[in-house]
Amino acid sequence: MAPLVPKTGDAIFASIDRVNAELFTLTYGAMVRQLLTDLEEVDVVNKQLDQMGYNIGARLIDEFLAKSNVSRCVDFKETADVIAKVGLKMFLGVTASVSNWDPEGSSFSLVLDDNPLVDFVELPDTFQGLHYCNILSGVIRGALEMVSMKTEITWIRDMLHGDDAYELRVKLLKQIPEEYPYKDDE
Amino acid sequence: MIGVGKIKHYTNLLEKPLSRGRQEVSLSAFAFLFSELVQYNQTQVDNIAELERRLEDAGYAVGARVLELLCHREKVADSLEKGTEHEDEYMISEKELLVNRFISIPKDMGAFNCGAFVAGIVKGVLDSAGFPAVVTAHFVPMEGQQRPRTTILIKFAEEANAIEACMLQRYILDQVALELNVDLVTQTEVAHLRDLEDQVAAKQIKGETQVETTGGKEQLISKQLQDPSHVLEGLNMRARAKIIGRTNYEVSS
Repeated sequence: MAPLVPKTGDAIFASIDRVNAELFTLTYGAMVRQLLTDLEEVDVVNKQLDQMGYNIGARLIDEFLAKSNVSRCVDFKETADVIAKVGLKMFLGVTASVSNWDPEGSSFSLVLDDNPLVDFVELPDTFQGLHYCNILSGVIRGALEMVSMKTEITWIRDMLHGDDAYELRVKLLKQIPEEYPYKDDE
Repeated sequence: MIGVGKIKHYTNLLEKPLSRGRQEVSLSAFAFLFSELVQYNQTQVDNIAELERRLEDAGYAVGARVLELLCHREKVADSLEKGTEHEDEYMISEKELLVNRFISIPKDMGAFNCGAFVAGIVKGVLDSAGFPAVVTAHFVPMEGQQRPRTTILIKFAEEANAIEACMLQRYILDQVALELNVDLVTQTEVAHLRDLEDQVAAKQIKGETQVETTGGKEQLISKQLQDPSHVLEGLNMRARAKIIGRTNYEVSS
């Protein structure tokens, strides 16, 4: 069978169903508001967002692999590029750039200029510690973990805190070898 | 330096120019987000009614803001329809509502409907526009289709009965439907509903439906459809339902 040609992020985004980004943005805002009302503590909300993102990422990776036809990434550098150019484009309609590789090639920065999650959002003083887009870090972490990469993701820059872009630091902790579930003899 | 010259930093959010209009994200991104929203709320409530309530509240917040965005986008009001009826109940009907598309309801949750979220959005829009209404979502089982159609039932409060108000209500609902990617009922479906109505007439229930009015006021019959009210099975038989169609989908008798 001829190998499937990986599609570009733009091509995939054009071929899938899309919805109004504002609906998406406002729904996310409603969700964060609910979390803040229920949980009140900013740290707890950050954790909850990350956890929700993790759940999403674990399922999102399947769709990503199915629709994008990317072959197995050779190294972490390729992974980074694929996330930035194909993954983010396919789901959020925006691309990010990859930068600041460390010497071992085990961590990079993902920089987003445009982020549909944060349209029309301003953080009040009482919630300055909130990482509003923490769901994104969870999504990436969850997705990568499903393809055997355990990562740690932190926010370096956040436009809602006054910076000029969104920067995520993605650090590869370890590659987990595939484990097969124990098979019963039946 | 990234984005030199592209990004201006505003001290105040409100000074930022309104962003580039119709941008899109993938449907699955929205579906994933919505599913997490529902799952989170499930952990916070004990029963279905509360779950629907919370979703509706979330949708309400969305709706209020959607309306603001619509207003600031300076939409030209040339799609206002001439409504001559003083109906106060409307339905938006959708075969596969966006939020219900990827959600399956386990049997023990019975009649729970994620359309409560959409109902909340519509309610938020109407409330913010000054047309308070009670908005609910219902499943309407349709013959020959496995999944039931979802219907958003909108019942306006009594105050909003002037003709201009009706026109504005129709216009707003049209815009909301656009935002939600909801198709309003099409011609073939109206024909189907007319069949249903014939069946109802045969069962002689029709007489009953004319009577129910709000506050004892006479309800004018729609000039466009030239038919008495339609009754959809699956909805409360006493509720009068009125179908909104876009102008090019109206059926002349």
